[in-house]
Amino acid sequence: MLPMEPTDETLLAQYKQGDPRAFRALVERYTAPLYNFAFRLLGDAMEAENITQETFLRVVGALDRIRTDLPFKPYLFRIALNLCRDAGRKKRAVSFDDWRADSPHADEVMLDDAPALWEQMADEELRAELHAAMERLPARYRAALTLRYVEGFSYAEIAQILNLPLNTVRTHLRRAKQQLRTMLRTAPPAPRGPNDE
Amino acid sequence: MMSEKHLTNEQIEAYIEQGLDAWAHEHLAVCARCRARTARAQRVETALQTLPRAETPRDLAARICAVIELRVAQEEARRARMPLIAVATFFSALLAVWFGLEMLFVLEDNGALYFASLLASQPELLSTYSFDAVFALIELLPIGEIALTLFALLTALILAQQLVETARPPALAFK
Repeated sequence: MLPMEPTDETLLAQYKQGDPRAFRALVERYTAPLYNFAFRLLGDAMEAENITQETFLRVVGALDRIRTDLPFKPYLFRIALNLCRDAGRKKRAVSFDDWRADSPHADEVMLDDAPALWEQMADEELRAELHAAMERLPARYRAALTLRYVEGFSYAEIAQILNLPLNTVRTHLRRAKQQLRTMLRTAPPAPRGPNDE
Repeated sequence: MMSEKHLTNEQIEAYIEQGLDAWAHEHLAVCARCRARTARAQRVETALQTLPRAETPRDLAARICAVIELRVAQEEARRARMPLIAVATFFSALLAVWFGLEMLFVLEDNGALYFASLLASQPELLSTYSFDAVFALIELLPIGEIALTLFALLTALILAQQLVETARPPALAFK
């Protein structure tokens, strides 16, 4: 039987007690998810690296204040999200200003009635198109989708990370998916970035 | 009997996620249009669930660990340095006060302070003195004490600045 992986909170507690290997394990566990999250939000590999590193540095800097009885992962992503917001503001290319905004009638149109071109696509091709379409979504939707589908967070955890009410998170996700389907139907394929699979 | 009302987008999303709504289930059984819409939504849902992560630079975790270990070592060194710098600052300030007082006593003893206050109140007096007398008065100044006071003061200031920098945690931002 495989030995059980220590939880994030256990590792954090061990690091607080002076075991540097515990933090190394946390870095190895979360570097890829954080990098992916930042990359999806900002679309910039260098910036995503900076944000991943800065997130861990912030954790080390705030070690005395971090509670080990609360889930660590949402806390980590919340730091990363705040750093992405700051970086987005500096770059001005990624807008986080409309974080809470939503058109109240955005999803009242009944979509997906007619068969679309994407329905003929193979799964792999559809994923690539979805990836490209996600890059054109507003940052708030990209964040919610990435947290939900790539990182597997629950709605409650996403609400905690994005600092939004639970229902707003549900609405964001629903509208994000509707926009994706609309984009798949209408938009031409976007050029791919260097890090795209 | 087929329901006339089609499923809303929200109901389709809820059905895909929870799949428990009996009414939606019954409706889908008889409505080809909603079934097709649900199938499309389901396909996007499945594709989203299998979205790959962006490729992470291979050595990123190692680099982050190295930076963190360096920062932690710097932080520990900073904390270890602090009491030493605090003691040195205190003694330098004490020395500056000591030499300063000594300088004042010498200035008082040789009458330089009195002469300076006299000149300050009556500057026209200066013209009545010959240059030799002025130089003789300058020679009376306790140069050694003045130099030691200034040196101790400067050392105390530099150490105090070091203490403030050491006491303040470094900004965690990196570039």
